[in-house]
Amino acid sequence: MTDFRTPTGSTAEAVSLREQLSAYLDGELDDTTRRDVELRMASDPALCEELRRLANIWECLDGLPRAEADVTFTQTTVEIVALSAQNQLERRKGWLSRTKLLERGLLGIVFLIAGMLGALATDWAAPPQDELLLRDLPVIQNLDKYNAVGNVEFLRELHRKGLFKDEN
Amino acid sequence: MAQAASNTQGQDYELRDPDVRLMLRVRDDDAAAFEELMLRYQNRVLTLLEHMVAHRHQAEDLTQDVFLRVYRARKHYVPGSKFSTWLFTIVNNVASNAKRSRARRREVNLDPGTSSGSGPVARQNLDAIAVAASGSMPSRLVVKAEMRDVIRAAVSELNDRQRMAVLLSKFEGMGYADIAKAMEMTPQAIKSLLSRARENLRGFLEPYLERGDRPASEGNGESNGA
Repeated sequence: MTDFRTPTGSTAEAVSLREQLSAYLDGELDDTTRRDVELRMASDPALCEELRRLANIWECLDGLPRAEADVTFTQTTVEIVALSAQNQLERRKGWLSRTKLLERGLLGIVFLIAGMLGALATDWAAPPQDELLLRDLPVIQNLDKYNAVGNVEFLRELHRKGLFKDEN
Repeated sequence: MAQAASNTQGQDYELRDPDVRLMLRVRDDDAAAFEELMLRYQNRVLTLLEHMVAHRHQAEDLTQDVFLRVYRARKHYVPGSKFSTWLFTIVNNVASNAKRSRARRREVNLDPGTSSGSGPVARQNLDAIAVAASGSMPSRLVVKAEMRDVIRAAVSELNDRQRMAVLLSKFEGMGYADIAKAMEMTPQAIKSLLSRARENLRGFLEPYLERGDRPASEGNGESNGA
């Protein structure tokens, strides 16, 4: 006979058997295990008694009270949900408008940077007209002399021989 | 391959479970479908939460929280199980969170007078009921009411997980696999949990049922988290 209530009832085997009985009552055993439990019960009155007691306790739970929401409960909940959905929508709208503003700001900054980079690139690729004039200023100032001499190489030769030393 | 199997399973649930179809309408912002789902489930959710937190007002607040979460999660809803299993997963999480924050508040308050639900207070209630029951012969109605209170106190003596498993099994008729999904445990763990819950209920109720005796004063040996 199976003993469930004495200390031997706490052995692993007894615990496992109790679990099988509980699962049997819940209809959760596979066919083979169910047949095993039924065979065992057929030869063990204590097991049958155990099952009856467990079933009895479980049936008692039918007497547990069930809650019932009052008529306003559904309405209130739906209102709360609707309010929450509205808040969510407003938050989303706010977020979207903030995102749009940010997007526009970023776009402006991108255009500004692009403009600056473009100007730098232009400067680098083609020096400005003023810089060219500044570089060529000494030539421009002496253009008449150069025209009069007509030969730059001849002037350089005179310069090397120290002909213009006194002028400096 | 796995994705295809999951899609087929989802379509299965959609075909078999009318509540899944309702939830899919909620996903598409159908307010009437949401109200219909609420009407179908609010009492069941409220019952479960009332037994979990033992306060009607708190249970109502939590029920509203559950449906609010359902609504907020609607856009991400994918039918991967029965609707009720999905819903009771939310219920279980909401109940666990409520219990945790309640425990934290209790730690801060340290006011023994405010504790209620399971534990010593529930036992005191049961003691009072048992004493009353062993007194003068009550009418059938009084016996019934007392019996109901005794059972309620017995259930409140279970730890949170055992109680949730018992309620889902008894009230919702859920199988081990579905309870396991809802409670994020294995079916084997649910089998053990329900077996221990039955033993605890029996230890609590049998003395009263058989002799009208006060229940044994020792606890169930698994205060919480078993």
